[in-house]
Amino acid sequence: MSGRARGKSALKSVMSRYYEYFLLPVGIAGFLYLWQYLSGFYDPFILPSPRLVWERSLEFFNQPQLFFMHFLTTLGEAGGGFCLGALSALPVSYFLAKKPVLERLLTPYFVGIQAVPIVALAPLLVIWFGFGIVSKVLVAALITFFSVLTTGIAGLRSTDPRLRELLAIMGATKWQIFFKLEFPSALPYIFSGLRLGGALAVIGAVSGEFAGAGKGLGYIVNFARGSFDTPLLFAAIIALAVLGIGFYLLFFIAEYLAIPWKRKR
Amino acid sequence: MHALTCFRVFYFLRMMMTTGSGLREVRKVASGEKVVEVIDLASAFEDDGLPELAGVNLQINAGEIVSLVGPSGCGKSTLLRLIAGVLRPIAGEIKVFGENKIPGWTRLSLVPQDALLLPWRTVLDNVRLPLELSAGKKKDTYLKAREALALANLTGVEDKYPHQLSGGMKQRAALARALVGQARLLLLDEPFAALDAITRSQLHLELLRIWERTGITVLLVTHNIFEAVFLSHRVLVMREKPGRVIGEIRVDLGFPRTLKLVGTTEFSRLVGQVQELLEEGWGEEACREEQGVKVL
Amino acid sequence: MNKKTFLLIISAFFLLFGCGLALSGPELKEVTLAMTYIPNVQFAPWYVAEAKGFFQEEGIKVNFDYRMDIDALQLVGAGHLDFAVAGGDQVITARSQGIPVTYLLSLFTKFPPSVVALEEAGIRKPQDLQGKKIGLPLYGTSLLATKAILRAAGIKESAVELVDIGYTQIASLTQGRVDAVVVFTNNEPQKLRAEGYRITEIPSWEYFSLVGHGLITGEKQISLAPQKVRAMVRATRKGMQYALAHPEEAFKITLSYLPELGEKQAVLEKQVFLASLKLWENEYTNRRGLGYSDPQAWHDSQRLMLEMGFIKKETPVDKLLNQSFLGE
Repeated sequence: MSGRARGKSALKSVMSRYYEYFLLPVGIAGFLYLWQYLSGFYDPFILPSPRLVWERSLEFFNQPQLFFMHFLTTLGEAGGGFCLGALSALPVSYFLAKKPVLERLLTPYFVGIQAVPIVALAPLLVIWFGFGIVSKVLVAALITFFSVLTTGIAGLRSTDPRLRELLAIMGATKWQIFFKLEFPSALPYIFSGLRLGGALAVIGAVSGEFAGAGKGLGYIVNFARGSFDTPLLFAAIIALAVLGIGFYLLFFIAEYLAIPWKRKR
Repeated sequence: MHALTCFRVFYFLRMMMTTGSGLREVRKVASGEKVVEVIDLASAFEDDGLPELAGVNLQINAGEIVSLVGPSGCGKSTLLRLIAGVLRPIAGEIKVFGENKIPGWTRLSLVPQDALLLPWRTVLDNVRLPLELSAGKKKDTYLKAREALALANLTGVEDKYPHQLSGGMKQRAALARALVGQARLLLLDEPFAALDAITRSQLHLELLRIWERTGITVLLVTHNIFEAVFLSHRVLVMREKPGRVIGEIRVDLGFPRTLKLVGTTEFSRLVGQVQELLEEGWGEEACREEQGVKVL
Repeated sequence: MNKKTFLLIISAFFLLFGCGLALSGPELKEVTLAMTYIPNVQFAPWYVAEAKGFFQEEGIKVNFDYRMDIDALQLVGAGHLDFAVAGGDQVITARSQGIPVTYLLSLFTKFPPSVVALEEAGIRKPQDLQGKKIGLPLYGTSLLATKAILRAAGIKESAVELVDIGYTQIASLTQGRVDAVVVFTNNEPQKLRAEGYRITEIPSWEYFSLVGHGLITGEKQISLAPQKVRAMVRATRKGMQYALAHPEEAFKITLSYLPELGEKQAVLEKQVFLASLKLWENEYTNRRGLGYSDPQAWHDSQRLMLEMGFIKKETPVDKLLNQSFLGE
């Protein structure tokens, strides 16, 4: 093979192995091009172009810390609410998994609360707990709680009864069975509930902000609507999307680290 | 009691002084010790009003390999679980090592049908699980686990997860786990049923080798007559509805055994005898389909 | 059933449908009016206009669309919606963002927001707001009114605490979470008084001369379908005139469009209704006619909004306001 041909095929093999890593930036660039193209067909107050959104963002958030204040506010509300909701849901799910009678008793109430869209409950919580961060954290916590609760119960009930019996023969105590069998066996379920809960927590935080807030990305959305500032609205939406993706990635990584036995080759 | 202990010590020393493959003579069972005694056992009623097991009587002596064969659904696994102590009989008695109480992993251990390794633990961690549960020193557990794995002839995969192992390797790991506590009674619940024929044969030989080295008492539940005859001193035949031991075939083929044995006339004769006994137990009723629930 | 029967039934349906369409009365142009709020007594002129057949007289059929909030403005500007109800300040803000909407007819001739407090707080003049906590939705019309009041009284923004309370004004005030709230003068104050609270009110229209809510449409609509615009404006005006002349009947008609109101609420809403009627007229309309607003007030208000930083650029008043359809 000539030197040039060898170089060409080497390049091809490198590209074919790593092409997956190129997909992400290419995908984003493609999306931006498409957006730019489509925005040409619409008024800027219906579908602003990416450049317009960028310029408006720079204008509104003239100092970086201004943006971070709003971003981190919503992040904090979602994160805090998530932790509160998830941490309180886990012991409750253990309790209810062990006592099906109790679970059956409480299920109608759970279903009822979950059925009400959080955007309707949020104003109620704001009235009760004020317009500060607390009410937003509680909204996020509420919505996370139920998500983690249902998956937690399902996970803890999913223990293979044969394994349970085997461990009993080995002489395991109730606590040992929990820590060494039930809990690890429930982890995949719990993590899927956590991942969902993370996304829901962001929704909860923003819903809380819609109902009354002075800062945060949800507040920016309200502000942009009131000022008919569609580019700013887009900026807020993009920031929220980044926030949501960040949460998702966080759990993806956490799951990867915590559940090595479910990794696919 | 004193004489018995001397006997045990004598055999123990003999075992220590000889290498596994050099052992040529037939292992005599240590006289008298009844490892498992089941008297007139009955277990819980099934849906159709008949108890699953009724009037089961059997006895296993120290150092024996005993197989339990019978049609699917006749209560073999249930019997195993009763002996292991996770189920309570509604009538009759079970004595393991002469006592009525639950034995624990250092005296009795189990190799279940699907290996049942914890998927979130590495092979090594799975094998040392029983020791971990009984609160020994942590360092010792690793050492003993490695020894057990060596005994089961499974090295090099300590840090792999169960889903990365083949069926045969998983069963070896389950075997190692059963041996790690140096139990004296090994219960096997159709452990080789899901394996291909070649792997199964390899594991048969492995089991015999382990038995030679450790002198462990073995109760093997299987529906494979060939397996039962090849591995055992005695084959107990069960019937179903209600489950009961209806007969016993002595397998006087001597140890150690090789696969060449399978082709001999004597082997075939014994297999035929077991088969006949089995057919006696079938009666009019067709074998109940494996429900999947009874399998341990 | 076999294929033939199925096709027969389908064509029968289409036939019926077509006939229904053809026979649906004389040629009425359909228009959509985006209400930008939930159904309530403040929309009385349009309810009266429909009930009394004023829309039909003018040759239009109006669909009341309650689905949208103020985002309807963008849709009107893009030509996807015919008309909407919006405030003067919202038209100015929208125009500064390049959204081509135009104000046609004024419903509320005064700027509706006012700062309300419980009597005990002793907030009677803008100066009394110094150092107080004011609750309001922190954007749009309410914020504009608040800042206009503070500016006129010479109070620095840092001297008061503005808290976002969304639309929980009544609860926030009565529970003492804030010292004062910003509400629409014809709405919450009436309800508070009816509940027995004694309140003080600082109206913003004394500090900001712009009109409140009115009828708006898109620029394109004016050039492409002026007949529709004229019809809508005239019918709305007739509705307003009728309501002013026959308030009791007008209220009854309005109630029929709000079936969810209970008896007790209906009594409260009557106060709101009567207070709203008062906002439809001022000196200017008495001179020029119902629905008119002063272009000079528009000009001054826009300048004020620019100075306060609410908008980045000004729009010529003849683009903001088109009163040509009001002429008899």
